[in-house]
Amino acid sequence: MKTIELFKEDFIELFMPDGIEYISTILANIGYTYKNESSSSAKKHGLEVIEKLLELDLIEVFYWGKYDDKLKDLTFSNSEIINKIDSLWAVGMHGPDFYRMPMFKYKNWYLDALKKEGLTQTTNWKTFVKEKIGDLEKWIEENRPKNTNHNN
Amino acid sequence: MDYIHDNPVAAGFITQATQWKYSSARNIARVDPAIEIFRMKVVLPTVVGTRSRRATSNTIRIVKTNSPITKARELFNSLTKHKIGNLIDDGNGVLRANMGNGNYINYRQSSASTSNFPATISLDFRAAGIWTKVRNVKFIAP
Repeated sequence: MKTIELFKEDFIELFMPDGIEYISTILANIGYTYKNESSSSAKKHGLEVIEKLLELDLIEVFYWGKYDDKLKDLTFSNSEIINKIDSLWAVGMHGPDFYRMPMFKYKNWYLDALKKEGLTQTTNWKTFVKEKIGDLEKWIEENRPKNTNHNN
Repeated sequence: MDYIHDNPVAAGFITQATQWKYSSARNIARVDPAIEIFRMKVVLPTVVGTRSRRATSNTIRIVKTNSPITKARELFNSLTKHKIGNLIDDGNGVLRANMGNGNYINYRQSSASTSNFPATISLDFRAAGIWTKVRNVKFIAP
Protein backbone atom coordinates (compact mmCIF):
# COMPACT_ATOMS: atom_id res chain seq x y z
CA MET A 1 0.00 0.00 0.00
CA LYS A 2 1.27 3.46 -0.85
CA THR A 3 1.37 6.00 1.99
CA ILE A 4 -0.56 8.46 -0.18
CA GLU A 5 -3.56 6.10 -0.22
CA LEU A 6 -3.61 5.98 3.57
CA PHE A 7 -4.01 9.73 3.81
CA LYS A 8 -6.82 10.09 1.32
CA GLU A 9 -9.83 12.02 2.56
CA ASP A 10 -12.09 8.96 2.75
CA PHE A 11 -9.83 7.44 5.42
CA ILE A 12 -9.37 10.56 7.53
CA GLU A 13 -11.34 9.21 10.55
CA LEU A 14 -8.70 6.47 10.81
CA PHE A 15 -6.40 9.12 12.27
CA MET A 16 -8.79 10.25 15.02
CA PRO A 17 -7.44 9.39 18.50
CA ASP A 18 -10.12 6.65 18.72
CA GLY A 19 -9.91 5.66 15.06
CA ILE A 20 -7.97 2.42 15.43
CA GLU A 21 -9.01 0.75 18.69
CA TYR A 22 -10.23 -2.57 17.32
CA ILE A 23 -9.39 -4.23 14.01
CA SER A 24 -13.06 -3.75 13.15
CA THR A 25 -12.68 -0.01 13.87
CA ILE A 26 -9.77 0.15 11.44
CA LEU A 27 -11.72 -1.75 8.80
CA ALA A 28 -14.75 0.52 9.24
CA ASN A 29 -12.56 3.58 8.83
CA ILE A 30 -11.11 2.31 5.55
CA GLY A 31 -14.53 1.63 4.11
CA TYR A 32 -15.40 -1.94 5.07
CA THR A 33 -18.82 -2.75 6.48
CA TYR A 34 -20.33 -5.50 8.59
CA LYS A 35 -21.10 -7.35 5.35
CA ASN A 36 -17.59 -7.47 3.92
CA GLU A 37 -15.26 -7.12 6.93
CA SER A 38 -14.87 -10.91 7.00
CA SER A 39 -13.49 -11.08 3.46
CA SER A 40 -9.91 -11.96 2.49
CA SER A 41 -9.55 -8.54 0.85
CA ALA A 42 -10.56 -6.86 4.15
CA LYS A 43 -7.87 -8.81 5.95
CA LYS A 44 -5.23 -8.00 3.31
CA HIS A 45 -6.14 -4.32 3.23
CA GLY A 46 -6.43 -4.13 7.04
CA LEU A 47 -3.00 -5.67 7.56
CA GLU A 48 -1.48 -3.27 5.01
CA VAL A 49 -2.94 -0.31 6.88
CA ILE A 50 -1.75 -1.59 10.28
CA GLU A 51 1.71 -2.20 8.84
CA LYS A 52 1.87 1.28 7.38
CA LEU A 53 0.74 2.89 10.66
CA LEU A 54 3.39 0.90 12.53
CA GLU A 55 6.04 1.97 10.01
CA LEU A 56 5.03 5.58 10.54
CA ASP A 57 5.59 5.07 14.29
CA LEU A 58 2.01 6.18 14.89
CA ILE A 59 0.47 3.16 16.64
CA GLU A 60 1.26 0.37 19.06
CA VAL A 61 -0.57 -2.70 20.31
CA PHE A 62 -2.56 -1.64 23.37
CA TYR A 63 -3.86 -5.06 24.35
CA TRP A 64 -3.44 -8.49 22.75
CA GLY A 65 -7.04 -9.52 23.37
CA LYS A 66 -7.52 -13.13 24.36
CA TYR A 67 -3.81 -13.71 23.68
CA ASP A 68 -2.72 -11.01 26.13
CA ASP A 69 -1.52 -13.35 28.89
CA LYS A 70 0.89 -15.01 26.48
CA LEU A 71 2.05 -11.95 24.55
CA LYS A 72 1.84 -8.86 26.76
CA ASP A 73 5.36 -9.12 28.18
CA LEU A 74 7.06 -9.86 24.87
CA THR A 75 8.70 -7.29 22.63
CA PHE A 76 8.10 -7.51 18.92
CA SER A 77 9.48 -5.66 15.91
CA ASN A 78 6.90 -4.16 13.56
CA SER A 79 7.23 -7.05 11.13
CA GLU A 80 6.81 -9.55 13.96
CA ILE A 81 3.65 -7.74 15.11
CA ILE A 82 2.24 -7.97 11.59
CA ASN A 83 3.12 -11.66 11.35
CA LYS A 84 1.54 -12.29 14.73
CA ILE A 85 -1.69 -10.48 13.83
CA ASP A 86 -1.73 -12.22 10.46
CA SER A 87 -1.61 -15.59 12.21
CA LEU A 88 -4.32 -14.66 14.75
CA TRP A 89 -6.69 -13.10 12.20
CA ALA A 90 -8.62 -15.76 10.33
CA VAL A 91 -10.49 -14.83 7.17
CA GLY A 92 -14.17 -15.07 8.08
CA MET A 93 -13.83 -13.29 11.44
CA HIS A 94 -16.37 -10.56 11.84
CA GLY A 95 -18.25 -8.45 14.37
CA PRO A 96 -17.77 -9.85 17.88
CA ASP A 97 -14.74 -11.93 16.85
CA PHE A 98 -12.70 -8.74 16.71
CA TYR A 99 -13.56 -7.82 20.30
CA ARG A 100 -11.21 -10.58 21.44
CA MET A 101 -8.45 -9.67 19.01
CA PRO A 102 -5.56 -7.22 19.54
CA MET A 103 -6.42 -3.58 20.21
CA PHE A 104 -4.33 -0.62 19.14
CA LYS A 105 -3.66 2.89 20.37
CA TYR A 106 -2.01 5.94 18.89
CA LYS A 107 1.38 6.71 20.40
CA ASN A 108 1.62 9.44 22.99
CA TRP A 109 3.75 11.72 20.81
CA TYR A 110 0.93 11.86 18.24
CA LEU A 111 -1.83 12.39 20.82
CA ASP A 112 0.21 15.05 22.65
CA ALA A 113 1.00 16.86 19.39
CA LEU A 114 -2.70 16.90 18.45
CA LYS A 115 -3.59 18.29 21.88
CA LYS A 116 -0.92 20.95 21.51
CA GLU A 117 -2.49 21.87 18.18
CA GLY A 118 -5.82 22.41 20.00
CA LEU A 119 -7.70 19.11 19.69
CA THR A 120 -10.12 18.52 22.57
CA GLN A 121 -12.58 15.71 23.30
CA THR A 122 -15.35 17.64 21.59
CA THR A 123 -13.49 19.05 18.59
CA ASN A 124 -14.87 17.89 15.27
CA TRP A 125 -12.04 15.87 13.74
CA LYS A 126 -12.64 16.60 10.08
CA THR A 127 -12.90 20.35 10.69
CA PHE A 128 -9.83 20.23 12.91
CA VAL A 129 -7.72 18.52 10.27
CA LYS A 130 -8.94 20.87 7.58
CA GLU A 131 -8.45 24.08 9.54
CA LYS A 132 -5.55 23.35 11.90
CA ILE A 133 -3.52 20.58 10.33
CA GLY A 134 -3.92 20.84 6.59
CA ASP A 135 -1.70 18.16 5.06
CA LEU A 136 -1.83 15.47 7.76
CA GLU A 137 0.92 13.36 6.26
CA LYS A 138 3.28 16.33 6.20
CA TRP A 139 2.22 17.38 9.71
CA ILE A 140 3.00 13.88 11.03
CA GLU A 141 6.44 13.96 9.44
CA GLU A 142 7.11 17.35 11.01
CA ASN A 143 5.92 16.33 14.47
CA ARG A 144 7.28 12.82 14.75
CA PRO A 145 10.07 12.56 17.36
CA LYS A 146 13.31 12.73 15.42
CA ASN A 147 15.11 10.05 17.41
CA THR A 148 12.85 7.17 16.36
CA ASN A 149 13.54 4.83 13.50
CA HIS A 150 10.06 4.32 12.12
CA ASN A 151 11.07 2.06 9.27
CA ASN A 152 11.92 -1.02 11.32
CA MET B 1 -45.41 -24.78 18.94
CA ASP B 2 -47.44 -22.45 21.18
CA TYR B 3 -48.40 -25.45 23.29
CA ILE B 4 -44.73 -26.31 23.91
CA HIS B 5 -43.86 -22.71 24.64
CA ASP B 6 -46.71 -22.34 27.08
CA ASN B 7 -45.83 -25.39 29.18
CA PRO B 8 -43.63 -23.53 31.67
CA VAL B 9 -46.34 -20.91 31.95
CA ALA B 10 -48.90 -23.59 32.72
CA ALA B 11 -46.52 -25.06 35.27
CA GLY B 12 -46.46 -21.75 37.06
CA PHE B 13 -42.70 -21.17 36.70
CA ILE B 14 -43.20 -17.97 34.76
CA THR B 15 -45.97 -15.70 33.57
CA GLN B 16 -44.90 -15.31 29.89
CA ALA B 17 -43.34 -17.90 27.57
CA THR B 18 -40.45 -15.58 26.66
CA GLN B 19 -39.31 -15.50 30.30
CA TRP B 20 -38.47 -19.22 30.23
CA LYS B 21 -34.69 -19.46 29.96
CA TYR B 22 -34.73 -22.69 27.96
CA SER B 23 -37.54 -21.77 25.59
CA SER B 24 -37.02 -21.08 21.89
CA ALA B 25 -39.81 -18.54 22.28
CA ARG B 26 -37.08 -16.17 23.48
CA ASN B 27 -35.33 -16.48 20.12
CA ILE B 28 -38.50 -16.33 18.10
CA ALA B 29 -39.45 -13.16 19.92
CA ARG B 30 -36.11 -11.72 18.77
CA VAL B 31 -36.16 -12.56 15.09
CA ASP B 32 -37.05 -8.97 14.34
CA PRO B 33 -34.69 -6.64 16.21
CA ALA B 34 -37.04 -3.71 15.66
CA ILE B 35 -37.55 -3.17 19.36
CA GLU B 36 -33.82 -2.93 19.98
CA ILE B 37 -33.40 -0.63 17.01
CA PHE B 38 -36.13 1.55 18.45
CA ARG B 39 -34.36 1.55 21.79
CA MET B 40 -31.05 2.53 20.21
CA LYS B 41 -32.41 5.14 17.83
CA VAL B 42 -35.05 6.69 20.06
CA VAL B 43 -34.51 5.73 23.68
CA LEU B 44 -30.74 6.14 23.80
CA PRO B 45 -30.64 9.67 22.32
CA THR B 46 -33.40 10.61 24.73
CA VAL B 47 -31.47 9.24 27.68
CA VAL B 48 -28.06 10.64 26.81
CA GLY B 49 -28.92 13.25 24.21
CA THR B 50 -29.95 16.01 26.57
CA ARG B 51 -26.74 15.77 28.54
CA SER B 52 -24.27 14.64 25.92
CA ARG B 53 -22.08 16.40 23.39
CA ARG B 54 -20.94 15.23 20.02
CA ALA B 55 -17.25 14.37 20.18
CA THR B 56 -14.61 14.12 17.48
CA SER B 57 -16.99 12.46 15.04
CA ASN B 58 -20.67 11.63 14.77
CA THR B 59 -19.90 8.11 15.98
CA ILE B 60 -18.89 9.32 19.45
CA ARG B 61 -20.90 11.13 22.10
CA ILE B 62 -19.61 12.33 25.44
CA VAL B 63 -21.69 12.38 28.61
CA LYS B 64 -20.34 14.48 31.44
CA THR B 65 -21.77 13.29 34.71
CA ASN B 66 -20.88 12.78 38.34
CA SER B 67 -20.01 9.13 39.00
CA PRO B 68 -19.44 8.34 35.30
CA ILE B 69 -18.70 4.65 35.90
CA THR B 70 -21.86 4.12 37.94
CA LYS B 71 -24.01 6.05 35.47
CA ALA B 72 -22.55 4.18 32.50
CA ARG B 73 -23.12 0.83 34.13
CA GLU B 74 -26.72 1.77 35.01
CA LEU B 75 -27.40 2.76 31.42
CA PHE B 76 -25.71 -0.39 30.14
CA ASN B 77 -27.86 -2.54 32.46
CA SER B 78 -30.97 -0.70 31.33
CA LEU B 79 -30.18 -1.00 27.61
CA THR B 80 -29.31 -4.68 27.86
CA LYS B 81 -32.11 -5.95 30.04
CA HIS B 82 -33.48 -7.87 27.04
CA LYS B 83 -30.12 -9.42 26.12
CA ILE B 84 -29.85 -13.05 25.09
CA GLY B 85 -28.09 -15.23 27.66
CA ASN B 86 -25.56 -13.96 30.14
CA LEU B 87 -23.09 -11.12 29.70
CA ILE B 88 -19.92 -12.17 27.89
CA ASP B 89 -16.64 -11.22 29.57
CA ASP B 90 -14.18 -10.32 26.79
CA GLY B 91 -11.42 -9.57 29.31
CA ASN B 92 -9.61 -6.33 30.12
CA GLY B 93 -12.80 -4.86 31.57
CA VAL B 94 -15.07 -5.44 28.56
CA LEU B 95 -18.56 -6.83 29.07
CA ARG B 96 -20.62 -7.70 25.99
CA ALA B 97 -24.35 -8.22 25.74
CA ASN B 98 -25.77 -10.21 22.84
CA MET B 99 -28.83 -8.31 21.68
CA GLY B 100 -29.68 -10.85 18.99
CA ASN B 101 -29.13 -11.20 15.26
CA GLY B 102 -25.46 -10.22 15.42
CA ASN B 103 -26.06 -7.01 17.36
CA TYR B 104 -24.10 -6.25 20.52
CA ILE B 105 -23.76 -3.67 23.25
CA ASN B 106 -20.40 -3.43 25.05
CA TYR B 107 -19.51 -1.82 28.33
CA ARG B 108 -15.84 -0.92 28.59
CA GLN B 109 -13.87 0.35 31.54
CA SER B 110 -10.93 2.69 31.00
CA SER B 111 -8.63 -0.36 30.95
CA ALA B 112 -10.16 -1.25 27.59
CA SER B 113 -10.34 2.22 26.13
CA THR B 114 -7.43 4.00 24.50
CA SER B 115 -8.98 7.41 25.18
CA ASN B 116 -8.83 7.13 28.98
CA PHE B 117 -12.52 7.78 29.53
CA PRO B 118 -13.69 6.10 32.75
CA ALA B 119 -16.40 4.18 30.90
CA THR B 120 -17.58 3.63 27.34
CA ILE B 121 -20.73 2.02 26.00
CA SER B 122 -20.35 0.75 22.42
CA LEU B 123 -23.46 0.11 20.37
CA ASP B 124 -22.64 -2.40 17.65
CA PHE B 125 -25.87 -2.49 15.67
CA ARG B 126 -24.19 -2.80 12.27
CA ALA B 127 -25.79 -6.18 11.67
CA ALA B 128 -29.20 -4.57 11.89
CA GLY B 129 -28.08 -2.15 9.20
CA ILE B 130 -29.03 1.01 11.05
CA TRP B 131 -25.46 2.25 11.46
CA THR B 132 -22.45 1.38 9.33
CA LYS B 133 -20.08 2.12 12.22
CA VAL B 134 -20.18 1.30 15.92
CA ARG B 135 -21.55 4.15 18.04
CA ASN B 136 -19.70 4.98 21.26
CA VAL B 137 -21.02 6.84 24.29
CA LYS B 138 -18.16 7.90 26.55
CA PHE B 139 -18.70 8.92 30.15
CA ILE B 140 -16.53 11.40 31.99
CA ALA B 141 -16.73 13.50 35.15
CA PRO B 142 -17.48 17.21 34.58
